Amino acid sequence: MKNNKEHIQNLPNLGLGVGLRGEHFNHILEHRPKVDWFEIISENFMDSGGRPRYVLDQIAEQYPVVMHGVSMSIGSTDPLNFDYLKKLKQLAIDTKAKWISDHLCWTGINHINSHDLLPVPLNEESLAHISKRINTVQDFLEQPLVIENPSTYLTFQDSTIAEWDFLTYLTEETGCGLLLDVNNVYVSAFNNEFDPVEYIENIPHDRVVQMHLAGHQNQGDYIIDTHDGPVIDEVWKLFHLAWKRTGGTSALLEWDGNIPEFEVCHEEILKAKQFMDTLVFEEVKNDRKQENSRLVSNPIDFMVNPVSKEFEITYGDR
Amino acid sequence: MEIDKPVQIELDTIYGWMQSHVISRHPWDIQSLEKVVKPSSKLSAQQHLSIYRRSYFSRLRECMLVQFPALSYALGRDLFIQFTDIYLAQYPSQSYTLADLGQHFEHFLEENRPDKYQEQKEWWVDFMIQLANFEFQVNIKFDEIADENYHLVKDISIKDDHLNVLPICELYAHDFPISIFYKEAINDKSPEQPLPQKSYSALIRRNYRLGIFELQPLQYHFLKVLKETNSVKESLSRLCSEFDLDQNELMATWSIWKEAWIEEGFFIKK
Ligand SMILES: [Fe+2]
Repeated sequence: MKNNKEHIQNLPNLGLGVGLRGEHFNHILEHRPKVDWFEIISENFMDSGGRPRYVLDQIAEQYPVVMHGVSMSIGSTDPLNFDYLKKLKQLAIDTKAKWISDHLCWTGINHINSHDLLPVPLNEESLAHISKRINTVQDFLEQPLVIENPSTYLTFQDSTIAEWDFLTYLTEETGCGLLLDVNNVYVSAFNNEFDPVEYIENIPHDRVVQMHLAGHQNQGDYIIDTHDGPVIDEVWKLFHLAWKRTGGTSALLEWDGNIPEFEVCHEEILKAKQFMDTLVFEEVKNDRKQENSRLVSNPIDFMVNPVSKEFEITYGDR
Repeated sequence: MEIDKPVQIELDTIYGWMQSHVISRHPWDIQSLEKVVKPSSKLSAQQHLSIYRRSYFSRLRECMLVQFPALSYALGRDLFIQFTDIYLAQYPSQSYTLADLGQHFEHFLEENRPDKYQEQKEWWVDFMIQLANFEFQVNIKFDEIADENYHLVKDISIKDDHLNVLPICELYAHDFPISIFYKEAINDKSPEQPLPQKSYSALIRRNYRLGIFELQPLQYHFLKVLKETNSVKESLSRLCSEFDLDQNELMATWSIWKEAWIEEGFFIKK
């Protein structure tokens, strides 16, 4: 555990990264853009023997890579899936991943996967349960895990610990690191009526390895974390605060719905530079609201290969 | 469910309760809701939980639409989504990857075919099932682990016994022009639903990219044997005897096939 803590505190600040998405494969291979690092969705590559993996291998040779997962289900009461963990570990070796992250959540029980990041009741029981599982995973992976705060949409009656305290205790119990998703703090705070500033002030700043930024959709009474647009000013303000408190960490933009050209994504994260030391807003960008009942949190574009777009050679009759 | 506050509910009880509310198609026992989920000033407990429920269905429908673009076009989006919702209830995902989400869909359609109890089967149902199978195969072959370290044959004067097919070369015989329909659908050419007609095709992967060949029946049988035997000579002679062909004519035909297929990068060096 002590080793894990030291490991986490010695991880490098990689700079400003972009999430690797299939839509950008060709652009990246052709133009080799000057990006500090890439974050990959682990599940998209751990079984891949096709083009996604082929592209990743080339990218991993030229850029630092960080692995971000969505299916570890660390909060679940199902047994840990060691087949999954084995593949995760191998992918980390193959890509020389700087670290491996997943979410404080469960994705299902009784062997079902909802493919969503479901919220965990935050209390003594779940804290003990999840700490134990993180320790098991860390022992197996032979490295500390980095845990992200998910966007949440409800509070359990049984939750007795604030999420920032829960994360603090997790880091103390296991030596794990934190991936602070600043947008998720904003979204969860809005949906569950807590103060996002209090959250950021109270997490253990020396354990934050990485930050996430993203856009979301405000539906009036609640916010959906859609990852489908630019970051709003309020989130940049929280980022600025988190940057000051942590002294700066690797930061990454998540853009998963209506994915624009690579350069647009890259430029959005480069804006972080203007919010590190000062808060300068060029144009006011407030919450976007879209009338759309089909809004999806944690959208799937980055988890499924749009294979039908991958035909290069189709032939007529012969 | 018996829930008495302030006794803490076991973690797996909460999870089981929540999971059933998120993924089940039918309305839940609303009585217990507020005992588990806190209402906020803006939303009731049920409204909070509904956000997860809506996201679950939206996310997985979108995923199925990505995995079955041609089938969803053929069925129409609404009907496809109706099938998808029932499918998700019968076969909820048990995999850590969404790539497997549609793996039982063909089987599900077969089990739930609308003409199940009819004596006379309706051919359009068979079309949808064969299309579902083909489309999922395309997904699998795209990302399957296979050797991509080979020398493509470019020289048409290469000896026959040095030829081999690509590691990923799947052959299909369908009762409908499935692969033609598929190609047109994914290229937004709005194909009409085809009538029954035997069709043969090959799905190949070359340098990590997929391609589809339409085949003549003889070509299909030839390639089938070639995949099995790795020998052009053997394949030609089997074709000759099985279809009672004139050997000279077949050799002349083969040289045309060979040239065309080499040009299209179909063969690798043994
Ligand atoms: Fe995130």
